[in-house]
Amino acid sequence: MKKIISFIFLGFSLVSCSDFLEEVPKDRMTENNFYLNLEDAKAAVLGVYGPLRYNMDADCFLMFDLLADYLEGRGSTMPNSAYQGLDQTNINRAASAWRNFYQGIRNANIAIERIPNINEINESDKDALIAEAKFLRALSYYYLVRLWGPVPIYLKTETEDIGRKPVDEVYQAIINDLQAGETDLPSIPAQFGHPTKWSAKAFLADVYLTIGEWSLAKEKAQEVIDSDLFDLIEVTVADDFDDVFGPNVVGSEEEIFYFHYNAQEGWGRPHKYLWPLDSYSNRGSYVVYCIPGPFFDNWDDNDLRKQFNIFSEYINRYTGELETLPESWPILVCKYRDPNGYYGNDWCFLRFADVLLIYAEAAVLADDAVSPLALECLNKIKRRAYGYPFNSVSPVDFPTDGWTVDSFRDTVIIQRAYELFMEGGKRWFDLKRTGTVEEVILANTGRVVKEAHLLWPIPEAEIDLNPYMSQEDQNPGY
Amino acid sequence: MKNNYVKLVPLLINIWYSKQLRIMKLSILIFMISIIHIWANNTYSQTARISLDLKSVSVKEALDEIEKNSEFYFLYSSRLIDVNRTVDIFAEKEKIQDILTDLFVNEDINFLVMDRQIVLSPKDILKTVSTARDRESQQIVVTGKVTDEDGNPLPGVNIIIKGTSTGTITDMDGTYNIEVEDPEAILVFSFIGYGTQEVALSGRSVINITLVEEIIGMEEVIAIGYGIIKKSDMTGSVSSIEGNDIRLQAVGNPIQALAGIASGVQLLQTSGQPGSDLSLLIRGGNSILGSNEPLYVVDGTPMVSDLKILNPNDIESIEILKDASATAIYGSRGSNGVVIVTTKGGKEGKTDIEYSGYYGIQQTTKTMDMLNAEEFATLANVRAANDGMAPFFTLAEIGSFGEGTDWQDEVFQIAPIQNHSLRVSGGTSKTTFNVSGSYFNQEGIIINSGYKNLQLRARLETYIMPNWKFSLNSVLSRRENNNLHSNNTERGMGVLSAALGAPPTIPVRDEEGNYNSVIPYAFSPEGLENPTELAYSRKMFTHDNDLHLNLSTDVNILKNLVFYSSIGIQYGLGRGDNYTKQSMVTSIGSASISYSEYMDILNENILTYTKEFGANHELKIMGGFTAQKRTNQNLNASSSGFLNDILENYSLQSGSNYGTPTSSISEWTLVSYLGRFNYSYKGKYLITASLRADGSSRFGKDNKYGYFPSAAIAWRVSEEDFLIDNRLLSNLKFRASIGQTGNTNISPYQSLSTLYSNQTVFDDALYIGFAPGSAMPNPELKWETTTQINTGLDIGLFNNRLTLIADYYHKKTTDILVNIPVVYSTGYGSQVTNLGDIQNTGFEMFLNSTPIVGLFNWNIGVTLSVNRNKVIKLPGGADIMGATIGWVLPAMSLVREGEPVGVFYGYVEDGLTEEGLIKYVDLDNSGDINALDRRIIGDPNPDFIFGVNSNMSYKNFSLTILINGVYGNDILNYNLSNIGDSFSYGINQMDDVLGNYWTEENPDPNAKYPRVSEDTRFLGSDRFIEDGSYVQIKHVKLSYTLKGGRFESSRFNNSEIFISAQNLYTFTNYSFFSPIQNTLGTGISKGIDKWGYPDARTIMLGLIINL
Repeated sequence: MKKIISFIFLGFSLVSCSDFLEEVPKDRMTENNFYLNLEDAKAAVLGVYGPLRYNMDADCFLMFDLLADYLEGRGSTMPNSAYQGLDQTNINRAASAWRNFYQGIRNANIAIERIPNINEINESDKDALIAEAKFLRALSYYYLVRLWGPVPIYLKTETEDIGRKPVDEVYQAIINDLQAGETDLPSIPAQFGHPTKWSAKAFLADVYLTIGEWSLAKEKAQEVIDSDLFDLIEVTVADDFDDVFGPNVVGSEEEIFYFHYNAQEGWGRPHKYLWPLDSYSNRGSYVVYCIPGPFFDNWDDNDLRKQFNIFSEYINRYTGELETLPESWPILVCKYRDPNGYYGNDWCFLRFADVLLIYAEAAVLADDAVSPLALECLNKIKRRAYGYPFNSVSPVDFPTDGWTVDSFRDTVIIQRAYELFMEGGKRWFDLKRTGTVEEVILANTGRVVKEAHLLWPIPEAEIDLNPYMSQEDQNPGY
Repeated sequence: MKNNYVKLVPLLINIWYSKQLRIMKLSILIFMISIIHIWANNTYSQTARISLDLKSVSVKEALDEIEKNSEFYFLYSSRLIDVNRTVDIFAEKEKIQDILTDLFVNEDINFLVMDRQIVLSPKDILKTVSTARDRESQQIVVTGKVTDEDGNPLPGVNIIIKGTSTGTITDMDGTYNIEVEDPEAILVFSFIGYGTQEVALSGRSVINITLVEEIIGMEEVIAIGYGIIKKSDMTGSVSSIEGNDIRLQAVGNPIQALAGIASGVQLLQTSGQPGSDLSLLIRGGNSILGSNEPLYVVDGTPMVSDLKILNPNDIESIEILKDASATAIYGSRGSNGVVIVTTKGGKEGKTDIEYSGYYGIQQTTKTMDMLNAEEFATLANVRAANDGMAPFFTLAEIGSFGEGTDWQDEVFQIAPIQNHSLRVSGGTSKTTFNVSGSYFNQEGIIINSGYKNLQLRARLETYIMPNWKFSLNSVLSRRENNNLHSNNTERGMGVLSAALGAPPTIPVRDEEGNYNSVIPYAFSPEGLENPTELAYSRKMFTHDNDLHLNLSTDVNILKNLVFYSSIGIQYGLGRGDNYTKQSMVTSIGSASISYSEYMDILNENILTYTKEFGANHELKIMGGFTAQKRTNQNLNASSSGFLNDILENYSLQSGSNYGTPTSSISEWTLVSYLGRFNYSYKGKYLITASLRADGSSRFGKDNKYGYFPSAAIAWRVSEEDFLIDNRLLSNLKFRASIGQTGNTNISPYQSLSTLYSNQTVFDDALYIGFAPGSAMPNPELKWETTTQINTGLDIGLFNNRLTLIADYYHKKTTDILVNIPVVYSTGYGSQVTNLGDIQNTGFEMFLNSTPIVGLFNWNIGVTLSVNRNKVIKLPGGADIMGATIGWVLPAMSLVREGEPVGVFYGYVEDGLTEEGLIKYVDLDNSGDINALDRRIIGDPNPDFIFGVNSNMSYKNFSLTILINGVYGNDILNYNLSNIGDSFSYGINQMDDVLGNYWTEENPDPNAKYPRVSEDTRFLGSDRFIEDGSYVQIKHVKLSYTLKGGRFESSRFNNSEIFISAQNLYTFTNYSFFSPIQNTLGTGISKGIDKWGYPDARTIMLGLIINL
């Protein structure tokens, strides 16, 4: 009896309980075994890209572009282009976008806080990595502030007051982050897809343009142009734009900051919302249509960008016959085409064409006059769009005189609409910053924009859970 | 009767082996003889012809010779029968009867021929047994007949004059006579398997009596955690279910058959899809996070999953432990109740072979009435007119459409269901075995869906020494599930929602036989798929293979001390096969394979000490130690871009584009120390106390250990002297218990700050980053603890022909584990936390009665369960919302202090505006409709649930009816937001819309449906809340058992043939397919029907063959 009992107790003691109960995950890192060296620091910064890419990949991207006066959605995406405020489906999508932007901000904050404590890394590497995280944090806030207005600002992982902060404060945070990038980021990227100091400057120019700081915008755009590191890609026929937007482009002179995609399964952009150029079917989840009317009527058919971006006829891949799109949707988008269906097309956050247009607009507003350089910037864009060498005078050049500041600006805005067609909501943000949303949208779509449509709703869970927010903080109409 | 027979066989064999018949055993022998006589199979004895030519041999030699030359064998006692007598015997092809008649002519010997077995006994045996002492005083001779409920005579019934040792037994006709001195004496009639009856003579001399088969054997032992206990000694609240009550329902998972049978138990299903997940909710939900699933313990082994790997036919009994005194011994895993399953083992003696099976057909219980083609086109034009657009269809087109396609007809089918199982069991005095195999195949009532289940099971027990036993339990289970892409998909992206949403104006296929597009119109929404094409083009197969082995040993170390030790291994490998055909226009052919594996190792060591002190004290002490480790692993790979659909997903390398492979592993461990103490005084006063200490890896560093005590008392009032002779009251017991249990049902690593990889592309290549996931770590994580108080009452009346078990309980769960959303702007999505307190209070009862016995028998059981769930405390009093339901409606399930968990929260409608849009009540009078205008609009928790289980039998026929019901719960009918959305999304509508929608011509503010327009919007409102009460005729079975009469002698005796119906009819006001849907799970977001697979009605024919 005694023997047996002692045997059993022996059995018990074989298991050392404290070790047995310790959790050691095998398939994921923990804070305890990470943030130790340069590779970890790089990975922490790369961790910021994930949630932002996720946003740009799918619904959110689509929602930005469907806000433009030339696009319309079908089915569940339709309310984005109806301008009556979002319905529940799109409220949910907006909430998901909000979460992803803030997840990106969190990941950036973690990198910014952790990297300085890693002893093995030299100071300039540290500064560059932190500046990259800040660049991405600024990018997140830039979308947040333009889509939702005042939003909470987290510049540290632990932030006290997380109520909605005025738009000015948000822009100041963005500018601060980008200014760090101007000095600390490298001049040449290690690979295409990382920001450089020029990305930070171009981004700053865009921010300044948005908040009406014309001369600062002009100054920053000028610095990028003067760097001589960037140029437009030559185009002679419409299909040459594939060298800018095509699925096989891996970096170019025109690239300032892109989110890169490739052909691997799951790593292309889900352009299933657009139609392939060589077949048409009314089936599937294709949801993006062009709204026929003044916008497209006014767009010169000789503009290669129009030929490249949209189609009304196509050669059927199966029959080889030329077919015309049905009357119900006579124009469709084909800008991001990939005949193989993988859509490795990159997403241009900022390219050199943007910078030229930012310069043109900002310079005219800052100088209160149309300078030759501003006009030249605008001409370069147009020359390329018509297949002419963009550095020499062409038959399609704009007149050198007869401009007012307003008429020049209006021309820039239209050129932006053509040039930056379907590039992530740029059209909608242009209309918003120029205060022309209601008028332009009524003219081009016949729809009256409700106030509720101007800002997206703060996710309800945010209002419910954030102690600094109440229902009164919700955006109008929700 | 069958049971008795089974018990008698080994007894008989014992007698046979011993060959030492003693007078003492004679009553048993007679009893055997008579019993066996009933089933005597005379076929062999009628047909066998024997030839003998023996001279001057002893009777014994003659009998031996007969045994040698035939299949007959003899049973007799050489002390009672003179087998040394010398005889001559000559026979030429004579029947055995004739030979024996010759052999025993002029001898006082009876012979009974039962098939091949012949029993010899002296003719005056009855006299020998009847005690005849003291014949001098005046004696009354009492006579009578004892019969069973069917009126058949019962031979071998023991009759004893109470308070004496005088007695007799009934003869083969069930008659008896006994001499009694006292005319007021009491006769005690007893017979194995039947209720003992006491009858006072009161001067009568003829007493005829019917014995009733024992309904509830009070001496029955039942399984509790880590041991067994006499049912009469139970102090806790336990529902017991016989395997027979569930074995023949058409279910793929045994727990599906429990609904309505046990009190305090609610069965919830996610949907009617074959093989879909089931939840058993015991006494309401304590928990919010993850599951409220009970712990399932099969033959002592806590299971990795529920009972889906078991064949209902293999189940001997199920005990559902409900109160803390019963469950606390399972400590950290007992808070949701424990379901203990005992499987059938082998029995010493004859090898039993049993086949049982059924074949049936199933069909949907309901179809929805949708618009036909003409009505659909007309409504589309109404929308066009309202939106200022040209009509979509011309009048001529509309006229030509007619009825159009009935898509439901295209996807629903009449589907077969079948089950076959074979079981062989038996054993010797040292080793017993039970092996079984079963095959279950259920095709879905929606095309290209179904479920198959194959099982092999073996249970072996062997004594290597008289006090040392080894047992092996093993199960191999394979389940194949052909899933349908349907549940929780919406707006025509899943098969069911597509079948209802697709335009009836389109034929399934075009002239060339290709599937038609169902979204050809300008108003057609994106995403809507051709339902037939979708069903056939998306493969979602899962195969699960589970192998569970448990090796255990029981050693009787000392007379009163038993040591039990076991090693259990549960291993499972699951594979998922997915392929979307490239013939679907939206697909380039995409394929994936996923593997998941689990491994669970459990070691248990239990020491049990049992001791009786004197006649009055009974003590049982149990103590033990267990350790468990679980590992889960996953691997996924995918590719897309296939040349054709031939290879499906079986050759991922044939895809032109590879996806990112993913893998994961997680582990947890649990160590436990446990102890229990049972004490009984005179079988009247019962005390139980237990304590378990659990250490779990899944909790924060300083909170790993939890302690779970319990205590219970019971008083068997009916055993008290003042009631013991009460003939009305056969059982009365009061019970009371209190105890604590825990819940550790969370994923591992929630207390750690972990980092996940995510990828991004630079240049054209992938690079890996690391960042936390969306779950915020919680190092403070600790147990969720439930404290439960239970009081109960067991009553048995009229010899237990009427029994009532009633319980009242109060459960309070503190530190409840919840995955709460966190402020989104922190960058995290959610956090598992110990949140607050929830309380469940309830009452449950089980009333069982046998109102009619005799030729016609009726037994009826009624269960009633009432549970009230309430959230007591949340941190800061803040509300928690459940998950977003879908595209159209936001989250509507709410957890709020003072309310039941998961109430529906939303807007209240108040008719329509002048524009024909829905008017919502402005509760906060702010002038516009915002989030503050919502209130509680429904409750998915029922007021009560009930079940009625009736068994009637007449001669060989029996009829079983099982009805169950739920009352007072609400269902959120999400489906209405799709097919009742005033055509705003452009999918087909229920025909209910006709004449019920707002028009400019007739701007009825009370119209059911708002303006038909693409701009019409719906908020989450009371429009979608419906009463979910129902009464369901769940199971009806009519069977014919081959017994009595000419079947007695057949080898198919006790075989059964039956016809039955499952889910025959449901009475409900719920408007959609089935009120029994929880497509978003049974946690916070329960009671939501989002395109749940409909329930099937099954009619089947079945057979049980016993050999």
